[in-house]
Amino acid sequence: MKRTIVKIGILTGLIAALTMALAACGADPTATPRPTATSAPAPAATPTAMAPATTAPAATPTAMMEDRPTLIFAGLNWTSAAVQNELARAILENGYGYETDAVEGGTIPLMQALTRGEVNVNMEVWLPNQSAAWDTAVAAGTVESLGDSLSGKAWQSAFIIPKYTADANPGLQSVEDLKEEQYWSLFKRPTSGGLAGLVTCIPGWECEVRNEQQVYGYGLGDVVQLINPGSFEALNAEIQSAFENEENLLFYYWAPTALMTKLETQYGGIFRLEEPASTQECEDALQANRDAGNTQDVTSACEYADADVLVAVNTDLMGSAPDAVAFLEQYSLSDEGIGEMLVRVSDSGEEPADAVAWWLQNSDEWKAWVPADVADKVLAGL
Amino acid sequence: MATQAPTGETETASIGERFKALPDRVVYLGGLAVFLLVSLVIVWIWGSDIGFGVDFQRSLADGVDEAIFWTTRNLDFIFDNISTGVLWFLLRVESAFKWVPWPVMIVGVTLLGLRLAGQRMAIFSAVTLLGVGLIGLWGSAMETLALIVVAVTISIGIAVPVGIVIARNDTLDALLRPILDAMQTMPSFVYLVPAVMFFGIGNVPAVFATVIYAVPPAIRLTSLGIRQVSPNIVEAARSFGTTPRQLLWKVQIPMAVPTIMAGINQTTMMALAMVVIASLVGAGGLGEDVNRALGRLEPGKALFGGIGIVVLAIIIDRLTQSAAKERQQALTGGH
Repeated sequence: MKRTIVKIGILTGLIAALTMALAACGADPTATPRPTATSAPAPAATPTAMAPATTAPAATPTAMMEDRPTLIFAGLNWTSAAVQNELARAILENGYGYETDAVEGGTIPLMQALTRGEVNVNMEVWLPNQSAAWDTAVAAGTVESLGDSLSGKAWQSAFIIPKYTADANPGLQSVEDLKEEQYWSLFKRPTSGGLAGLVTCIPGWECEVRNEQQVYGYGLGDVVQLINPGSFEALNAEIQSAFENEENLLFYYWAPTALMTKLETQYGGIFRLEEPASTQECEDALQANRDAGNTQDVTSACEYADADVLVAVNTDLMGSAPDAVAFLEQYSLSDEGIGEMLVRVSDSGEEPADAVAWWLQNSDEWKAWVPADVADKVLAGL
Repeated sequence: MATQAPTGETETASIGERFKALPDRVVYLGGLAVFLLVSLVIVWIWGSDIGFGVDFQRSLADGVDEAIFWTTRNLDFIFDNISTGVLWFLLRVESAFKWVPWPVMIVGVTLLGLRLAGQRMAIFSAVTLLGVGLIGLWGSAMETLALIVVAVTISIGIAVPVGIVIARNDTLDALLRPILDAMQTMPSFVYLVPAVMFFGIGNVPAVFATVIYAVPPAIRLTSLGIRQVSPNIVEAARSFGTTPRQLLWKVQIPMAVPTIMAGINQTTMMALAMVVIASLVGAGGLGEDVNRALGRLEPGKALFGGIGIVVLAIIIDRLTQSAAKERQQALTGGH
């Protein structure tokens, strides 16, 4: 009795194992014949598509025949990069029939991965912030820029205050005004040793050093203490909770970003204290000072020049995916474009991919980056 | 089938019992087969990406977000007071450690090592601490030490009373156990970033997160220590007419001290493991050195920061362990 059950069990197990093996073979396109895209008119929905994971439903038959590389994007962890990744991926997948993926990671590890070719595309290389890592990557000879990914101006500043603080203190207009005690004392924090606290850049980023140069260069070294936020996540949490409680805060940030969009739309916005304009001499002097390593020993400084945000690719892509490279060269997203998508992500909590899908349907901007037939395929694939 | 005699009996047995009574081979092999077959059929018909049809995550997560924002806005005063208190304590400890000149500190720790753990420990402490100073990490090490001391003190302040209570109450013990498990396994960043919203960046959320992560072993071992006190001793104490309070303070707690010390030792080690994570919300010290060095892709510097943490860990571990051992010997030697 018992033995029969065991036998039945083993038999079913064997049958199952056999079917498994068959299924595994079926998933291998070279081993078993299966319905091809040309013979099955609607491959994705029919039950006959036995191994759906391997077929890209929107891909044209020719695209499936070719040996096309899967494009790996740098999954940088800030929202504008996530949006731009989704945008480029949506167009490349639906319009050009590429498979794409993103690898999460920090700025520096992803730059190295791009150099080695483990990542193919980085949609946001911020210069001059990442210039050290970028120069190293370019010097390695396997990384190339395909031009701006954001056509508008990307700014950053270490002297941002909430709009409500600016409104309450109309005399506080520039970094020079910050020398007056009535103004710097607004930004005292329990941990800032009786001075004004300036929540600065993430440790290890170039802006951390640059912010320090600015504080000392503007003559604020005696009244401003730099506060290290520790990480990007903590910096965001600190800023948002300060705005939530209408507290005064002096902080470093940059735009276009989801947080700046959110502060603008939900918390009344920010005010940037005026700083001396950026000039080439000033930049050179600051660079020399950084190279010398005595960043508190500066006599003058200037604001950040508006940043360039580049698309970068590994040079292997030029040979293996020339049409993708051509598209990325054309790619250049405007201020309004990124702003419209960031607002949807930060205000209504949409996923970046959904915001991108909405934007692709409602904006014509991107149609200038691709041939008309590709644009049609993108819209059809959404 | 029909020949089987006790059919009536098996029918009265519950499904669960009958399932348990099946031989292992049948259950596991048959189960695997059914598992595979059902999967195959479903994949065949609907494809491998069938989905759940609904997704409650967005609405549930929005609710949690709303609660956190509400708390930041409305319970601000509570967090501000906690923050001020912890910060006051921390700054005192930190300035004390930084005030002591390094030669005094090194000699002091070396002598302590000699007294508690012997010659080899003394030499190890002297050499490694001097090494930490020579690679320029003394200030960071003292900051980290202050953070650890504060976090461990708060942990003990929570763990010992809680441990005593759950040692005497099985229901509370059962309730608290999954909570302690969650505290030890929940990825720290999940509560670290909300902690920033409550306490602001810096050492306070770092202490908060460190306490959450490090307090469970102290609670568990305090409870264990008290439960482990021999019933004979408890009986003897009772027969001499101790009140429950005397029993706790004069018998159970003193007998449990070595186990509690082991718990504190564990807590300290776990607190040290949190140092780098704590630096992600702006805590200073060796963790910040590691964090910054990794951000700049300077693995060498990060390694030195890491070695500094290891040195602190080994010294604190050996010293507290030896102290616990000494206490244990005092207890057993008295008999």
